[in-house]
Amino acid sequence: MSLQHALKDTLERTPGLDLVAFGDLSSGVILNTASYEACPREVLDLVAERAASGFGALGALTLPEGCAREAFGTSVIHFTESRTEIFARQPQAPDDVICALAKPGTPVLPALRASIGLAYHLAETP
Amino acid sequence: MRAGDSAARADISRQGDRKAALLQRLHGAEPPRAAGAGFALPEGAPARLAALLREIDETVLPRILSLHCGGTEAGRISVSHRHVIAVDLAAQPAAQSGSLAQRCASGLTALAEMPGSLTLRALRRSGVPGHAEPALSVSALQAALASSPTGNAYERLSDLLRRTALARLEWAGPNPRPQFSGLPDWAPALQELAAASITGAQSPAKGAQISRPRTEGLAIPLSGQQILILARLDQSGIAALMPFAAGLEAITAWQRGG
Repeated sequence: MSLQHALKDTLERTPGLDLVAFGDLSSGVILNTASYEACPREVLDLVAERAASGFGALGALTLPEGCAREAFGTSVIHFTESRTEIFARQPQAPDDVICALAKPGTPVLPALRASIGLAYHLAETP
Repeated sequence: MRAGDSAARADISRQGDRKAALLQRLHGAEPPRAAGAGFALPEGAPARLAALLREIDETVLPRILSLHCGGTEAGRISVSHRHVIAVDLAAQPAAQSGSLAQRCASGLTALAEMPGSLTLRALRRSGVPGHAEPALSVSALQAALASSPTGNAYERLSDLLRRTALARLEWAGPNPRPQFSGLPDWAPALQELAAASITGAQSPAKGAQISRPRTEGLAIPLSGQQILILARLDQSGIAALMPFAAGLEAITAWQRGG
């Protein structure tokens, strides 16, 4: 499945999503998108910025010894009253990020699972 | 890219959005309303507030937007030329303190958060004075609503987080002394989250300096059981360790106006 097809498939299968994108955290650029409506480049730049900033915040965190942390570092969620932005990546390719933009009030868990699943799928695809 | 270009583009985009919404309504997405006919406002404070602001923005002639709850009048919004002149609540006397923006924002918030179903009817406004009245545009109202001290988005979100937080750290003001409660092992992590947020609030990014403050949050899943959530508005914030499901539900509930 091509990257574009995988993004589109996730967009269509996950309720409440407006856009699914693939980006590079190191350069802060969104490289591919699938969406129902065209999204301005400026918005995509801000999304990439928030993804980098969100994952960047993890580096300064000292978690308590012994706490369960198997999901730590694979996803962050930025949210306002009008939008939820889910960012997911996987450990083997930490700069490759999936960005999923959801409508407000959409249950977060399905979109989070879909984004993490897509990040893993892309990492496993040669 | 210059900041002015960005602001101009955002303004054009907003105008385009408004026109698109108007065209959608005119083309039958919503049934046309006869003059004076009432209609039900949507449920949930954010949706209600948005509907009220839209109604104000589309009202050119002097009108009273009369809001009814269970057959009795709950409040009145005096409007003219797409500007608000006053918001009066039936249950309380008109507030005299604060600016017009603060009074109107407070009144609109109270109406939007009113329990039960609300209907709105536009009535002719009689006794309009010959001189220009102090009035607020919708954009000025939106700015006031963002910093309204009553029932604002930040308070709702922090209330939701407090209910199920396993540990939390809260701060407010320019020289905050964060207050911690809950599982002591989590104090350092929450302090680190708070420190990053406070530093960000004290030296905001260029673009943020000219935009009005808004409530935003960052959630960091740790495992299938726990999640860290940071919520902030300007110089106030809360960092909380939450049960995973409850944390995600709090985000959704807050966005739905809970």
